[in-house]
Amino acid sequence: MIELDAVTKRYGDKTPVDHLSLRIPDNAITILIGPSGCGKTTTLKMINRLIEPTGGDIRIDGRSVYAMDPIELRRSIGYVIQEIGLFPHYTVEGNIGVVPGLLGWDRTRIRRRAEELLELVNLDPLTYLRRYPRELSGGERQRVGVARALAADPRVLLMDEPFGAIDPINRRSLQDFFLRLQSELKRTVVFVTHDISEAVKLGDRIAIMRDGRLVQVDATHALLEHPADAFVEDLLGAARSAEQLLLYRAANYVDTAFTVMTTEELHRSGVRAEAPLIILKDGAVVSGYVEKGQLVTCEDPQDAVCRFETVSGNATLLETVATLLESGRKRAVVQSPDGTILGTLSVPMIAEIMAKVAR
Amino acid sequence: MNAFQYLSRNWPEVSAKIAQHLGMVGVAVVASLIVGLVLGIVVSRPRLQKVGRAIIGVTGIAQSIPSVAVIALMFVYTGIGPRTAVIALSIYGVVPILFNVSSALLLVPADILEAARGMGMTPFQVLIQIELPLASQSIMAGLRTAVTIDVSTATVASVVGAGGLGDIIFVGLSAVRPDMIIAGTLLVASIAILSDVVLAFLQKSVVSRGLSIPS
Repeated sequence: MIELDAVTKRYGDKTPVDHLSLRIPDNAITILIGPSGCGKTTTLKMINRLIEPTGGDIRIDGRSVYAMDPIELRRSIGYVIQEIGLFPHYTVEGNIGVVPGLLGWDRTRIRRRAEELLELVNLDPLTYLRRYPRELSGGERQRVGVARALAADPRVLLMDEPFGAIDPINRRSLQDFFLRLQSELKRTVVFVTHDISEAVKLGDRIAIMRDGRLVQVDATHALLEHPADAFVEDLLGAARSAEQLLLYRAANYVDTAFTVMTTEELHRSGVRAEAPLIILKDGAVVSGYVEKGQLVTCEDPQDAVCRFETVSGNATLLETVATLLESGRKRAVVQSPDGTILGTLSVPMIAEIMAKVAR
Repeated sequence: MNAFQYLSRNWPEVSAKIAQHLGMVGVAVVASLIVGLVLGIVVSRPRLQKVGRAIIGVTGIAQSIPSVAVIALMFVYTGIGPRTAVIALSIYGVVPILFNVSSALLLVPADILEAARGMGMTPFQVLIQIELPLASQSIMAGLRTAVTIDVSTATVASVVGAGGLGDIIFVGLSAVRPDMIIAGTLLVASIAILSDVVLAFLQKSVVSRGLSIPS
């Protein structure tokens, strides 16, 4: 966990960051967003001490970053900036190998790591290792930038509008790519953006800043449902149109009220399903679900079991609705790529979310 | 006698002059490169902006002094001999190198420097691994200018008794020997061209291929 504790930065009579306190949970994407000049980038750069604060403390896993050597601190944190800042005189391999090189890895280990990371970001190592940044497209550069930040396997990634300079279509596919990557890697990501659609799409949590202060911080769906004030509501504006909402991640909107049982346990539990929803899981396989109150008879317990659709947590709400409507099934079980059940979604639930959030 | 006859008949003396000439230029260029690099790095440090402006100002003025005058001025202090010439050439050669080094270093994009710092490079590592390689093209261009200037200016060094190919030209001038004047001139010009070709090759191996790809 990263804890910002009354962090303040003053330049003369300006205070770009003013007593900001924020907890950034592990293994999730936390978005810092706000109008330009709100202090979001300054805040980000104080985490890896590119900017030294005037007051307050920042702790990573309980340890103050000011007790660490700034050079070592930065080597332990992945850093991606707008325009990516790839070094044009280094090949892709050279760029990915920068931090490992600083950490003293040997050449073969760096080569292996670069190959591994290129595969991770879906670029063929044979084709790309020897290329120079100027021989890459914008999207490829971005992927290499992310790979470079991951080179020394940092727990924490700081990203400063990494997809800001990319055209909208490529940006969307980079965002999808990044979400897939994150669901696999589960890093602690602090992500600065000024694009609210990007924030809602990528963020597990969103922290809204204004004039150097924190206005509101909450889980993405909670923020959309309960904006703290008119400012937040205004900022959310575009992201709350129905069209935009349908592009957001299923994982953020799932109904998490469910119990997982095996078929045998269900049989034992009696004639009526008492939990709000029971998902049947035999071993790794989800085999069906039972709605609350449905009768599970001993003679034929399978009668009450409904069939379902499975969607990935990274699927959009639109994809989820489409899947459900096409199959005629009532519920979709939302699973992360590793098979964890995140929750369920149904068409009425999505409609309800939209009615609550959209305007 | 034509220039080529002169050269073939006096080759031992001529080759000694070539060696002197190259020696003067070589020592001067190395000195200029070291001084130019150090000053260029100092000038481009944001914290040393004031010092930087002063250095650039002074060298700008130095550039407006004709090369012959620099040699003549050095003569006042260090007298006759190759030492005077080498010092004068070193000073004169610093100017193009310093200008190119400092302007190229100042042009390194801020986002690249920030990425380098953010990844945990020390200021020295940023300079050696990022800034200087990115400025290498321009540094090499400055070096080539300095070499070209020094090769021709070293000819004038003959007047302070520094030897070199200038001797052939000046003797030819006073003895009215067009063959000597032409021979000396041809040699100086060939050295200038050849050294530039050599440096062009060096430039290719020093400058990363990634920088010559159009962005």
